[in-house]
Amino acid sequence: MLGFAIITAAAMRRVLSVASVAIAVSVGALAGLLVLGLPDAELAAEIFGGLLAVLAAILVLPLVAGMVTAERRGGYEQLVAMRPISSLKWTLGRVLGAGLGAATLVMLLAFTARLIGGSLDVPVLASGERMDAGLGAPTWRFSLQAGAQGPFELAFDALVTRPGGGLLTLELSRGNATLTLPPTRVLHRHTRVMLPDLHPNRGDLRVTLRAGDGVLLSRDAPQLTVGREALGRFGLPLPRGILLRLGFAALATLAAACAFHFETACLAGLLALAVNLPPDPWVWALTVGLLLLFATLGTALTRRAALP
Amino acid sequence: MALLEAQAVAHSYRRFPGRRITSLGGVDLVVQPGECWGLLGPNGSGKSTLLRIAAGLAEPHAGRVTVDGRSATTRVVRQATGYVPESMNWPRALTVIAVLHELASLSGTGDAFSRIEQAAVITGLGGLLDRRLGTLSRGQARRVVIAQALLDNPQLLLLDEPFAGLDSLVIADIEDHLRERLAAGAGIVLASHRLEDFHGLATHMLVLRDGLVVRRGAAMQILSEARNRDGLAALLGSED
Repeated sequence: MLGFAIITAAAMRRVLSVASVAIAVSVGALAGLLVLGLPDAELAAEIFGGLLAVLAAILVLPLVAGMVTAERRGGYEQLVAMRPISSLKWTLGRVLGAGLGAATLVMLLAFTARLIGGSLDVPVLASGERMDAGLGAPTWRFSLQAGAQGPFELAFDALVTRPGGGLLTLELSRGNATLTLPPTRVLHRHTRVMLPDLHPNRGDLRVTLRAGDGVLLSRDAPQLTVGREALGRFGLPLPRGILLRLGFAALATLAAACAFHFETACLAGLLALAVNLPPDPWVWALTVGLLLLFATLGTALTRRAALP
Repeated sequence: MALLEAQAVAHSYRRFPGRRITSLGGVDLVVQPGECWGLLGPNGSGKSTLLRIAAGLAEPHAGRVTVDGRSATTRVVRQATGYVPESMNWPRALTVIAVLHELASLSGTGDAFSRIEQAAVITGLGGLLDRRLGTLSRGQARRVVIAQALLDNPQLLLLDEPFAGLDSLVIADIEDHLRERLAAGAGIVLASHRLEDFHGLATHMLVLRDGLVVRRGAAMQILSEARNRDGLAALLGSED
């Protein structure tokens, strides 16, 4: 009961205040909007993890440091110090409460960012499957879903060996229909060509690429954009490794805040973020244990001289 | 056994660059059940320091303090001591009821809500319990500080300028309650630099100046000596 009171006070009334929840949601929305401005899914997924970690650190570290140091600065700590609770119980309650509160805030931030960033419109790609024996001009088959409607964008790599580029002829076939497109001049390594739907014929699309002089086609499979869809929440993976490190930094911040000022506590958190602990669980357990011991000692010392 | 016993309590602090300032220079104070000791003295005379040491929030550099025969920092003593600090900045976003419930829960004695209700009635906080602390006036916030000290029905109350900023009606209600506590065997140490805070409540007085006891005795006698400006100036050692 006693521990529950401290945990609830730390989590619900200090860390999870209306203001901090509003900030977490707003920052999450901002991160989501930033993701929306990115051109493709791969880049979005790559940037999202780092962006989330930085924003979570900016949000959480000052918050947990402020939670403890503001209690001391305002004189509230001396009122708690007058109550019959041990420094260990008080420390563990604050650490657990702050941890739960901070984790909830980070989840809110991540959820909001993924909800908004997940609506990023990204192309649906179909990868070509080579159909020929590999001797002549390559023919690629693209599996198209029933509802897929063209025109489709074909992207492929080529090596241009002449300054003026070279010509490329594309032959399409879908169902019973075949079509030879007018020659396209290939000037760059990455080339994109729009292909017609060949309506009303349905089914897989076959594309044969006949390269003229000055163009060498890559052996990599070309990609066909067959539509667009929202990236979705799961297209933005959570940086679990970084979040674990953030939890460690939050604990270091809290431990330092139990004995020192706000700025020192934030600095301790930043240093903890930069530390590379080996993945050995014993090292982690020992470090966490030492931080908790430090927090308890700090609490015990400051409560003996709890000045506002 | 005395509720509070301070023997030759001394305290000093270091001020940059290495100069040591004496805030208390060997003070004796014994508070028996039913006694209210008034600590009178100008600003910086050591009243608050003595109360902080009695509350276990500061360490004396010399001397000894016991509450009911035990060290002031023990768990039992903390439960039996109510402390009203001189200054307090409440967390602004919390409501009065939230902060009082938090502190009442930490004591872990009995039903928290009934104790809050009782303290709220005494301090006139009944209509303010749902208000955020940031929206309270100075006097209202002061009442919350007093209420938290009364939550656990402590045997020893250490009050540092408790009535600063309060209106007369609230002061009268709180004084009535404190007199009931005294009659029930509690002890009170009340520090103030205003004489009117001691009238009708203090049974004994300790006059402090520069950390030293300059006068001790029955409250009625000392208050009558200080009833006019010259008497007060003589008592406090004012130069003008």
